[in-house]
Amino acid sequence: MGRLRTADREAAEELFNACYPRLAGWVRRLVDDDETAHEIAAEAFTRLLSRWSGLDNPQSYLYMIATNLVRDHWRKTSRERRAIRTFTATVPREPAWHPAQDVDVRDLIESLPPRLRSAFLLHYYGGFGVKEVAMLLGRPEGTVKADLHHARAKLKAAVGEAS
Amino acid sequence: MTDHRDPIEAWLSADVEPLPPRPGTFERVRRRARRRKAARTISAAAGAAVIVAAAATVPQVARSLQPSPPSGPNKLATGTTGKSSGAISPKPTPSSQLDLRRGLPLSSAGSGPQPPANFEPTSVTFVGSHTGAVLGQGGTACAKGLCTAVAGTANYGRDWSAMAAPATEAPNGSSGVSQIRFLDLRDGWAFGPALFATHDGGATWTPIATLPGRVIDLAAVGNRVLAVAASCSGQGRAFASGCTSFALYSAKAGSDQWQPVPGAFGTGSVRPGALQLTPSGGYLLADHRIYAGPVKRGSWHIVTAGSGSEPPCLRATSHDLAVIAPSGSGLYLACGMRPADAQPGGTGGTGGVTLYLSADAGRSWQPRSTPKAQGTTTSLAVSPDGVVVLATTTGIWWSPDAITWHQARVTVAAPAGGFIFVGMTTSKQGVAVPADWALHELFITRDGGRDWQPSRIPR
Repeated sequence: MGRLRTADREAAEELFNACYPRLAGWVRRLVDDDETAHEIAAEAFTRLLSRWSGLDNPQSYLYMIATNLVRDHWRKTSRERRAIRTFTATVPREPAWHPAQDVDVRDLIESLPPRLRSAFLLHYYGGFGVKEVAMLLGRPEGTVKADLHHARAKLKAAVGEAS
Repeated sequence: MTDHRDPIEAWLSADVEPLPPRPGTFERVRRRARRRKAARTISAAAGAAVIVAAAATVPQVARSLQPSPPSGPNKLATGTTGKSSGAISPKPTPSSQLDLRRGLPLSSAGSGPQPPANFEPTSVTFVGSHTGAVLGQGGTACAKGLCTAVAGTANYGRDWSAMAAPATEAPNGSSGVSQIRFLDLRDGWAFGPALFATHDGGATWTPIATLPGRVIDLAAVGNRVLAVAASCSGQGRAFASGCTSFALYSAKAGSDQWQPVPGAFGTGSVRPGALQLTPSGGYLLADHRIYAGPVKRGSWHIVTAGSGSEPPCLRATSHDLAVIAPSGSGLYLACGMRPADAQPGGTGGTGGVTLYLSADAGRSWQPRSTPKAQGTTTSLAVSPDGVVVLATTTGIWWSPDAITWHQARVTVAAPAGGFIFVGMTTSKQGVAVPADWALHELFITRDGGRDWQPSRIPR
């Protein structure tokens, strides 16, 4: 009981090998370190495999779980980041500044409506094309394009106001 | 002015660099997934057996398979949290050999079995804009005194799944629990009047016996947890009535090493909801006084002047009742005009509430408004963007500025008895606990307190 059947196991391992590196890399863009990225990616796969038999679109489920876990991580670390930034406010930013490593942008992305946030994260952070995002989210491509446009506009406007 | 647009363009268009798994990751993931799946399957199978035996519907199996209850919540030995779920064999195992006190953690909320059909929620807590837990009574082991049940959500109350629960009963004088708080996905507490702690996200619960008396209220912020312990005489569910003395205790979130807080003790009454924390400090409303102090270290002290100019409900001779809620602009206090019979979670008063605001941590107060709220004031909350929400025994009222008030719309109608608790998690999302626990539901707002819709547990 509870064991994946051989065929399922092979399929699961195949999916793992195909998707884990990209998923973990995607998560690493959103969090601070490789360790956290591995933790989140592994947890996402754990949840996926524990519900393996009842899923129509495992990849979509995988990225949705990871998105939620990343969001939880952001929330957990935001207080510490604010405190650190307060003390290092006079230190110039490094040239390779990444918006997602700035808590204000994280807060902004988190505050996006869920429909915009999911599409935004998958496309701009995950590197999925519009067609793939549409398939993952079960939405028309035109809707995804519009969602991406709105999310991008909100992010740019907010960053522009803040700078 | 720095132009951040170019870095955003460059960063957004950058390719994802793959991060290969470390050796053995797939096997670890597979084992963990198998354990979780096995736990769910065993719960469901054992639940079906209980349905046949007891002619009940959707029991909470974790409760029914637990050993007979101890004579008191503090009699359970620390560390008797059962084996890891990893010890569950893939082979069929007799139910009597299973210890399902260990369950899924809060981080897995939404992926477990359904909560018991007779779940009666009494308290709710959220650790973010999506994940939270509700504690109540339900299941099939109530006759054994093990009614307490916990359910989790990963989508702010749209769906609920069963979690492990403290092995205890409904509030009954000095035993049982009725309230739940989680600081984060790891540390949480069940209390009122007994105290249990979890440091694995609710997968296991341990009784804490170091605090004297009944734990009336508890709050956590940062890495600290504070609890109000009191000597009370109330029986049954009225565990917080008849309190004659109280003291505040503090612990590091993961430690279970509770220490008294200097200056925060006294004689008189204290009620659920009396303790309110912010990241920078805390407030305790007890014996018609407001105590304030730091969350981490240091003494607390009484901040109300006692000069006769304070709000009526803070005067020593007053029988009026009060609730407090901190906000970005200060500390709000709602004074009920007349007392009513003490009820757990209630503040009494039969209407005519006045809202005060203190901008100096409770030293002086300014009346802000007199909401035309009907019923007894029971709970007060302030959202992150300053919307004040008031719960009473007839409904919910909200104000964007603490001056103009509106009655919230409750779908389909406000439940009989109104609400015993209201809280705002974000500027938009909030939750209210109805007084009638037998409704099997909470009420959720997703528009800043204007509209409230029931969240049935289970769906």
